[in-house]
Amino acid sequence: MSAPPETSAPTVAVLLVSHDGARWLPAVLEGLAAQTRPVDRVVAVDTGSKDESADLLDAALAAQHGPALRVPGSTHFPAALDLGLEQLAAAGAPPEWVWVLHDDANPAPSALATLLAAAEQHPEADVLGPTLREWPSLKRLLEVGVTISGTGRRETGLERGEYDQGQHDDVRRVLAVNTAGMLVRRTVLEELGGLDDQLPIFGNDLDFGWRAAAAGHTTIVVPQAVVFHAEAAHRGIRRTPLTGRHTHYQERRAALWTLLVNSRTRALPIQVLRLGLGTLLRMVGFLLVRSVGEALDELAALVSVYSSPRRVLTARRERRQRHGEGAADVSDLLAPPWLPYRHGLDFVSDLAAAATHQAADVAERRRAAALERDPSSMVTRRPTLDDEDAFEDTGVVARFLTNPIAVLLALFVVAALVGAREAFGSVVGGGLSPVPESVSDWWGLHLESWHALGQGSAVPAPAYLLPLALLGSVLGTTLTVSALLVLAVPAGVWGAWRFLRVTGRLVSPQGAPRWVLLWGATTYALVPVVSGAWGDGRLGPVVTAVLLPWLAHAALGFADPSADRRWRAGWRTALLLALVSAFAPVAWLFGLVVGLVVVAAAFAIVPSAMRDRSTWGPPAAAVLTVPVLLAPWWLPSLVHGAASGLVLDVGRLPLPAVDTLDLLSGRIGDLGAPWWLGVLVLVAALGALLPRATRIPVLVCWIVALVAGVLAAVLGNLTVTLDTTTTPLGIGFLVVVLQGALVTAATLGGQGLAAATLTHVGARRTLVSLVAVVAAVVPLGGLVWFGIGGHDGLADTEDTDIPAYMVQSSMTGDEHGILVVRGSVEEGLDYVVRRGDGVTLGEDEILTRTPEDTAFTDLVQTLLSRPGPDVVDRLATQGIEYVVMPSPADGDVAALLDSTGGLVQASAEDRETRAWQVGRALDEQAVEGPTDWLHLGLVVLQGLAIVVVAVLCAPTTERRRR
Amino acid sequence: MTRTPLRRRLDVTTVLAVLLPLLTVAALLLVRPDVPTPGPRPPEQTPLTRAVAICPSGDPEAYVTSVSDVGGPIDFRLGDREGSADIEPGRITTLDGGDGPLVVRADGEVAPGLLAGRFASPVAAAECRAPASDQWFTGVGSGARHTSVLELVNPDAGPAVIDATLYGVSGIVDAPDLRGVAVPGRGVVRLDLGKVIPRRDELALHVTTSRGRVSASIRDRYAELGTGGSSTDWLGAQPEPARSNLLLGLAPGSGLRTLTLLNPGDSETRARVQLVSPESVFTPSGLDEVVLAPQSVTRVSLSDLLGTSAADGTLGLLVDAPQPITASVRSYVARDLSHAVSGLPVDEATTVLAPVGDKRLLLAGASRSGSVSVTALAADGSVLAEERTEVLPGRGYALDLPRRTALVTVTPRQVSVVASLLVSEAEGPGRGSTVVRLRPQVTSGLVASVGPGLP
Repeated sequence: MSAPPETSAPTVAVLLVSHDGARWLPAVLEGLAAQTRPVDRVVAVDTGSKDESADLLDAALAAQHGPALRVPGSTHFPAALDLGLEQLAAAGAPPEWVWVLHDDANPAPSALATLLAAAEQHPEADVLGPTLREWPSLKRLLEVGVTISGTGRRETGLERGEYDQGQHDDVRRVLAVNTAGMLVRRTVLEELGGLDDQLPIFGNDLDFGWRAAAAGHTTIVVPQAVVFHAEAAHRGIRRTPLTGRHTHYQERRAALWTLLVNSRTRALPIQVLRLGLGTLLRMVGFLLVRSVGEALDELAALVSVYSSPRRVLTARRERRQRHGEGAADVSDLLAPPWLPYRHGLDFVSDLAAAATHQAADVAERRRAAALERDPSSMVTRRPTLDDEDAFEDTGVVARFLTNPIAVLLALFVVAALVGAREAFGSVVGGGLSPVPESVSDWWGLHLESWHALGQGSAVPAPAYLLPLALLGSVLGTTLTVSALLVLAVPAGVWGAWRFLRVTGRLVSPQGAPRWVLLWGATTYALVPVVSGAWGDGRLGPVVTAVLLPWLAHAALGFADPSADRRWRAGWRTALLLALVSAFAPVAWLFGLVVGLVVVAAAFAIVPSAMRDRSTWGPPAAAVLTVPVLLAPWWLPSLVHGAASGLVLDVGRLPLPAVDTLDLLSGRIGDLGAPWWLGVLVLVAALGALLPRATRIPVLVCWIVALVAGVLAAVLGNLTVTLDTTTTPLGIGFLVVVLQGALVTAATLGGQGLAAATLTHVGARRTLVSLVAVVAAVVPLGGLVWFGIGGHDGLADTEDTDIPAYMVQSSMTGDEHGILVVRGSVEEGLDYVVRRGDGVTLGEDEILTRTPEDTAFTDLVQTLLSRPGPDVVDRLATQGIEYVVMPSPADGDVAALLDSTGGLVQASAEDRETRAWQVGRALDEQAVEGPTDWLHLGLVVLQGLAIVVVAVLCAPTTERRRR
Repeated sequence: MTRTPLRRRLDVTTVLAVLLPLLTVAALLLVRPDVPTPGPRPPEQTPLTRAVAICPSGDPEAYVTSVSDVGGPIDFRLGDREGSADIEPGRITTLDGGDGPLVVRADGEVAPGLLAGRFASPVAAAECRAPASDQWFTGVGSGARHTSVLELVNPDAGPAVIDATLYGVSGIVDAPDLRGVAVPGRGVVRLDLGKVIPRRDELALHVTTSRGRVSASIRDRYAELGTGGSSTDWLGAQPEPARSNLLLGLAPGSGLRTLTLLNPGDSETRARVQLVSPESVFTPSGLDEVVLAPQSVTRVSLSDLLGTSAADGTLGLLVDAPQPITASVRSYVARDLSHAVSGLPVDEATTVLAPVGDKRLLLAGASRSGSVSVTALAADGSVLAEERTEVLPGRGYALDLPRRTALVTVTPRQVSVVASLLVSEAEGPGRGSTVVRLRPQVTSGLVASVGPGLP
């Protein structure tokens, strides 16, 4: 049995498997022939190639090693390998080593020699693998040994596209090596039963390596041995019936299988759970980058593996039997447990960076496109760097302190935070209702079609509850509203700075001078505050003022030279417009009108460009998608007679009336800064029309202002008469838009003025300095006014006049309502039904838009004028537990109620407040209502629409290996 | 050097630079929101469907009638007795049962016409009214000579609570026993002020109901120290302080006459006292303006002034003040006590039940020139007299009515007047006088305008 002495060198047989590899086979066969250490035997297996692969094999090998084994196309790689082994065994004198090669794996001439030398040096090694380099680039590293992470990711430890510069030249022990170029002891291959049949194409190397390691065998990688690998199957260049179209599915399935069948028994349950949840997370990730197919592959792979637990268990049993109970510990060879999290973090930060930067360089891209069209054009000249931009490479602190703009911005933000001190923590007052205790209330309002408010209402919850609920799920309700108010100015200055910088660059390559940007950004950021909306707790104008620059920024993308980016800008605009419209419903109307004006103007000016669907399509999509994104609020509002909600601002009613001076000076309500501060912005925007260089963009701003003005002229004179009050329409958003347009115009004008001044000296410079000083009054004055504080109507809590024990009782169930009656017989009596924790943020809109329940009003009128025991009975069936007349209670009505049988006098802290308890059993179903499936369907539609639009507007990241 | 004429073509951007801001500002100038401020929503007047009249304790007998065209059943509780009876238009039904208070209820179409009366001998008359949440009694006493009893009647099943504020000549008198006085359901509480808070000065009492419904009344007693003579009568309530107080009904003869004034306001004020006679309203010589300290009672003795003029035909007093005050005149004439309290203008037909005695109807305070019809009915409904008299502002009128008159109806035509019935008995055991005020007949109830309010 001993080997002949002259063949003391080990025998090596090559197992070459091919399938439609005619593209690569000639080179592979050449490489095989060129080995410095010739192979002893070659067994070629062709699995039903449709090209001339088999003939190529025969031509090259048949003479010396016999014809290629031709097997059907359904034969997978492990089976082909088994057949090859059988053939080796049948031929007698089985070799010591088997070298596995693919038809797209071309060994370097020294590959086999190096591997065998390493085998001699490391006698303990049973499996050896070469370095895999990319084919046809030949330089880039693909794999130098592989392992698997806890989430099933194939870990090579290499950067993408890393060049082989000898940096991985140490022979080391690894979990597995790729089957392409794998040199394995035949005995080991047979002992382990070859590759797993469950893994036809992908991942069988990892499983094999794991099993080998568990059985106590050693796998090493020999970096000096090189095999060039085309990875044809992985990249989908080669499709076989086995890979199908879904290579990702196969890969993922293999990864899941490998982890489940090989991991330790005690780690199995947690592994099952982790892989299931991980798959969902990965699906979200794939959806975010619009890889819907891969997301579905993930799911399919999970279902495929998880739906056949028996097969998994059988496979585990086989492995256990093979290496017995004493399986070697492979944990050192697996990827470290923190690795998946690092990959996740990388992914998220990549995505965030891409998302925030995708619109920023629209100016650059337009210039690049212009350069392509006309290389000699003036506009394409690259801007020279400002002195300010040419930072020396010093420390962050030094750079910050030597940059006056940065210091001023920081001081501005600090002063704004100081000014917002009233909004720290719990805040209520003016148009702002208190927040509910728990964010589940907000979710409930958003998801439920029937609200147990007042006498029950089917009016949908306002649309802004969804973003609030999302934010509140992280921050909690109190902090959410506090953050919205406190961060309004800092967030506004950020958004305005970005927007104004891009507009400046669109206008001229140099962009706006930083001082002008600083003026524009700070002036705009103060708009929600100096307008008085902040002090009055009007979330609508405050939030929309923060979002508007981002919306405008997104809309700038319509001017992008690339159609794909224009579409993405359209979806991004849709999402932001929906968000803005949720807080200020009039915004959608404004978006519609501006869109029509801009598209009409574009048709008039450049009719040829507008024939392209990707020019007018994105803005149209942006405007028309908004109703879908807001569907659960929009449609039911129309159905349930609450259409007025579509033109009213959010918050408590009545809304502040906005007149001409308010619109011109940017004021909403009576809590604003002195009006002349706002008029200075108007003067600046008028002056901005003077510099010729920037006149056209300034005119565009004025067109926007005109549209807002006309819309304000139409809407501002209308009022809505609800059952509870008469209120003007909510045009706070138009005030914000006007201010935004004026500030942008003034900033652009400042940019033009600065550009014109550079070429002049003397009197003109003095004039410019004077303008600058006057202009600086606006943000400085606003900031000082805000910083001093005391102009707001906000407070920490609000007195409700309702005895605490009644509130406690009303929290125990919806039927424990409190009928609160205010007013007098002479002036008229108003009633409100208070349920649960009272009227909280988001419920005002439902209650005020709900049509009056006239039957209940009649009941209350009877109660307050001619009460009798029957009235008290009906109160109980309507879910009223207490009747309260807060101080000062009308004595005549109180006397009447005192004299009514069935009403029991109840106590109150304030003697002037009168209260009665309804001495009857309450009807538990008093305020229950029907479930509206339409609403539920719309909520689902909205969720899907948000996901789809979010995916559509997300930047594409190319995460696939090239 | 020639200068080329500059005919620069008007640039489009220049035109737009002028036009766009102008259009924008013009559009904004159109914004004039007209938001109506919500005004008061006055209540609706509807016929009364439920009426209750409460008379304080008095003689065992009480009288009820219907002053509308409709008669019907009523329920009553007189003292300890509960019962029901029928009332008829123009006819008096007599109820008897005890000397406790009378509570009469009428439901449905009978309600607007319900009228009750209660008297005592020597001639005295109580006011039977619906419960009120605010009542002012001016000229109350709690001393040995002049003392008053506050009677509180709760007609309902639930408990009631009142708060009484006592004013003295030097400000509000701290009287904890008058605060938060609970009146049990269907119960009566009597507070003898002489025992609760003995004082010698003139007092005024403001009774407010903080829980439930209560009818408050004052039974006033005046005793002559030494001679043993004494007399009682009810003191009418004033619903609210007024700038102009017309006190009609001065018992004929000479005796003690005391004008008591209360300034409930926070600042000092001055009152002008004038006499009302058939000829005119005039300020008598010797009566200066009265200075009224804040939240204090002021006593003005008119005995000397009126000692003679009552005989001369003085019908009453007119007390004017720039701030709302309350006023009453107490007359102790010929050993009989009577009060004239601030009258309430009536502009529609109103009826009053009259006790036995000689009757004189006093009219004054006409808001303008007009006429007043007066009908006097006997207890059986027969018409005894029908008169029509022209009234002018600034004059007083006195009409003598037949002695048998039991019901007096006064119907002003396009004018509002203040009217009182002065009933005197010159002879017999019931000798004395009393004043019965005519009050607006409550025939309708107010149904407040009710609507949903802002949350």
